[in-house]
This record gives sequence, structure tokens and C-alpha cells, in this order.
Amino acid sequence: MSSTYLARRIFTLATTLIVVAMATFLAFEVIPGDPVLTMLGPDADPALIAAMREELGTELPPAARLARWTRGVLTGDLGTSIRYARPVSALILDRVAVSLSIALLAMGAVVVIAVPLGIVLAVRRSHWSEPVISATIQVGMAIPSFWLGIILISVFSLSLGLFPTGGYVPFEAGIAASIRSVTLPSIAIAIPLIAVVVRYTRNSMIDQFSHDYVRTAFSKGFPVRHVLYRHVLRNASLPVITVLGMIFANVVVGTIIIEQVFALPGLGLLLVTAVSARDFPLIQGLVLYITFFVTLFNLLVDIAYHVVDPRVELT
Amino acid sequence: MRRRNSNLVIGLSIVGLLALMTLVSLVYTPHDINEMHREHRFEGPSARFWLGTDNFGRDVFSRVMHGGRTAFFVGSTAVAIGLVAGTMIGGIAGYAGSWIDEVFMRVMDGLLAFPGLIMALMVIAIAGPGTFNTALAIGIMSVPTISRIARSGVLQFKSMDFVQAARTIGVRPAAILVRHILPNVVSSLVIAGSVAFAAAILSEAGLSYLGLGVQPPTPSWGRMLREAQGHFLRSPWFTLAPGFAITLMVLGFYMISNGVRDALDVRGHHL
Repeated sequence: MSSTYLARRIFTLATTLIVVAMATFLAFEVIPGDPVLTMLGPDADPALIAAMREELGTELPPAARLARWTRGVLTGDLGTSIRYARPVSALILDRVAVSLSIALLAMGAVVVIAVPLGIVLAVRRSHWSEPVISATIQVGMAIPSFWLGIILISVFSLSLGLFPTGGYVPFEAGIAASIRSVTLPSIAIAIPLIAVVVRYTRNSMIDQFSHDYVRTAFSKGFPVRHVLYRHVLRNASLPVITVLGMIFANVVVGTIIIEQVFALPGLGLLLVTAVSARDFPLIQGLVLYITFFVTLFNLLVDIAYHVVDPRVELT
Repeated sequence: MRRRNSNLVIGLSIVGLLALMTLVSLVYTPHDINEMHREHRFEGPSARFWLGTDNFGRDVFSRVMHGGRTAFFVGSTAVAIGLVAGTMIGGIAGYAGSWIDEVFMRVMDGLLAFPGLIMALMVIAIAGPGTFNTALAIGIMSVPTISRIARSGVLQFKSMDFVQAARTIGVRPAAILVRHILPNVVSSLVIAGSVAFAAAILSEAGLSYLGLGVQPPTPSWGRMLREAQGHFLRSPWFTLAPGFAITLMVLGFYMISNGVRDALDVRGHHL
């Protein structure tokens, strides 16, 4: 990998992160009225109001507030949650394991199921199966994951008793039980995304079939298997890597809603609670944290892409 | 040929039927949506309650019909916001070029980095929940994507002869954008718009399910699922009906977008 590629990629990453941080800061600057009164209500104790103004720095000029916020972001100090009266970074650290295990399990399921399925469905094409596959994929993409979650709980937890109905079992309390506690939510998030990735993988493979190099390989007498796995798959894998990077954001968004369905105390449930309580420092910190995380993941995907195909340059 | 149009035909039929159901709900629903038939709670489908009743004995079918209004209102408002703002930003950036383009697009890249729902939640935290704010939040969510599509369309046509000709005879930039370039990018905007509509329905349902979107007493399919959760075994219809409604509506708009894409792109693979 060329170092200029990496340098340029990291430069765009830096500008993106700066815009993200600025947008998160500015979004909470435009709140109509007094944010402290919005949070505490007009009848709050004046001493409490004064203390919070001090804490949030609402009396400072905007430039000083921006400097304070930037300094905080750079040093990992995301402020203090009003509802929980604890540092935002500590709250995030407490809950990140829950969301991360759901997201990783869901992402793993998508890769393991969708990519091979997409390949098989591209290779074994037949006239009659085409509309069936097409319809199934489109329906799969349209199903809301939280609805699936509600149905999965009802069937697999309440009726069959195979999984817990909700709640998180930490890793330290046993790996099997921990995985069991996040299995259904991961499946619920994964199913619509499996449809998306099957579609991309399949289209990407079919796209490659029409290229000259495939005909050349066949006419040289290579067996089908060889052409498929050595030639087609290698070229078809590039768009698949891109789409896997893209759906990571969907997985993250999926965890936010699914944590509510299964009462899992992760970042999503924390964010929903923060929005309901209008706990602005907590919302700001969570939004920034989650968005940074997704952006960094996308950088890794881009680098992986570059490793697989060094021809790809930054656009 | 037959297969190519089936997406569009089925998609338009689904959305058309849902629109019809919603229009009918303006003048007629089988029952009052808030009327509680206390002796008929958690009932299955019957001649009197077509899709059964909910935990308060309200008619699920009437509420699903009425929920269509919320879905169409939030969907179309959000798409309108996204299309107007996105086309303006993308159009100006693409047409102006140079540093304006650079600044606009860096900002859009930054906004695109926010996972959609996260940005919507941030807007709702600031503006508060409610039907219009939900539409606003979801609309803002789609602006970066639509502005990119509009920009690439403008870039594609900017250097073409007919645009150069218009510029030479002194047509103002705004008029060139609206009268000469916009008609050429309408098809990609239609595709983007129907994908955004599908995404808006899913987001509205998700936000309302979380209790942060449409507020009671307005019926919303997502909100109905929130109320139905935990009652599935007692009354599956109450949970299934709103979920089916969401899925059908999203499916309809996906199929429309795929159908339009197929109709325009002969080579493209279709689903």
C-alpha cells in the first residue's frame, strides 16, 4: 500500500471527523430558547440553574464554548450527563460491550450467510427461480428489524423458551449465556441486511460473468470451479467489500432500535433515554462517539479494499 | 420485457392500494379509531373487526387505515425536504465548482458520516418529538445523499453543448440549472426519492416505536407495534397487522425505484 494513499485517506478522514464534531457542536447551539431551562424546566431551583450554566458554560461566548468542547473531545472528556450525573465517557464505557457484541454477531452473520448465498444464487440461475429470488430479496429488505425482533421473542423465547426474553448477560458470567442473550437481536438486525448483501454479491458476480476474461478462461479449458473461484470471485469481491462497509452503519442503527425491543442496556438504549430526557451533553457525546466509530470502521474497509486491489485510488 | 416492468407495476399497485386505503380513511373507517370496545379486547379477525382488536379493544383495521395518513404525510414531507434541499445544495455545488463545491461537499461528506437514525435522533432531541418534527428529522437525514446525486448529474451535463449554448446567449445560472439541467436529472432524482421514501417509512416506524416519533393519539404503525409488544401470543393480529403495513409500503417504494431503474438502464441487473 502506498504511503501517499494512506496519507490522503487519513487527511479526508480528519476533515470528515472535524465536520462531524463541528456539526455535533453547532446542532446544540441552535436550540431555540435557553437550553438549561429546556432541560430543567422553568420552575427549577435557581441555584441548580446557575450550577448547570456553570457546568455547561452557557454564559461563555460561543468561541470559548467551541474551544472548551474541542479540548474536551481531544482529551476524551465528553462532559457530564445531567440525568446520570456521571461522566459521559464512563457511561459509554460501561455499555459499549453490549452494543459491540450485538453488532459484531450481526455483522458476522451477514458475512457468513449472505456472501456464500449470493454466490450460489448467482451461479445456479434458472429462468423460473429468478422472480422468486428477486421477490424474496425485496421483501427481506423491506421488513423492519424491530418487528422481526418482536416476533422472534414471541416465538423463540415466550413459546419455545429457547432464548431469554431480554436483558444482557455479560461476558464474565459465561460466554455461552452471553452469546445467547444477544443471538435473537443480532438475527433480527441481520435478516434485512442479509437480503441487501445477497443482492449485491449476486449482482456483482453476474456482472463479472459477461466479461471477456471469463470467456477466455473458459476457452482455455479451465474447469468451471477454477474460473469461478480464481477469476470471477476475486473481481466480484470488491463491490462486496464496499457494501459490507456501508451496511455497518445500518447495523449500528439497527442496534439502537433492537436494544429497546430486547431491553438490552447498550449505547442505543442509553441514547434513547438521553433523547427522551433531553440530556444534551450525553446525546452530544454519544452521537460523536458512535459516528467516529462508524467512520473509523469505514476507513478500515477502504484500506482493506486497497489491499485487495492496489489499482484503486482515492477518488 | 415482461419481467422488466413487473417491479414498477407491482410497486405502483402496492403503493396505489395503500394510498387508496388512506384516502378512504379520510371519510370512512369501519370503527372510530379511539373507540374502546372493552368487552372485545384482544379479539381475532371477525366480521365486525376485520383485523381484530388491540389491548384497549380498539379496531386494529381502522387504526392501520388511519396510520397510513401518518406514513404518507411523514414520507412525502421528508422526501420533499430532502429533494428540495439536496437538489439545491448539489446543484449549486456542481454548477459553481471550485472552492464552493469543495466546501459544500466536504460538509455533506461529514453529514453523510452520521448514521441516518443518529442524525434524526439528534434533530428530535433539539426540536422535540411530534409528527412534523419526525418528518423534518428524516428529511434532513436524506439531504447528503440526494445532494451528491444532484451534483453528479449537474457535473455530467454542465459541459454539454446545450448548456454552453444557453450560457453564451446569457441565460442566468439559476435558469440554466432549473430549465436545462434539472429535467435531465429528474429520473435519478425519482429513483433517489422513492428509495428515500422507503427509508423514511422505516425510520418513522422506528422512531415512533422508540416513543420519539409520532405521539399519541395520532395512530402510527410504529407506535402500534410499541403498544402491541408483549401481546403477541395473546393476539398475534395486533402485532402482525401494523408490521405488514410497514413492510408492504416499504416494499412498494423499493419496487418502484427498482422498476424505474430497470426501465432506464437496459444493461443494469435487476432484482
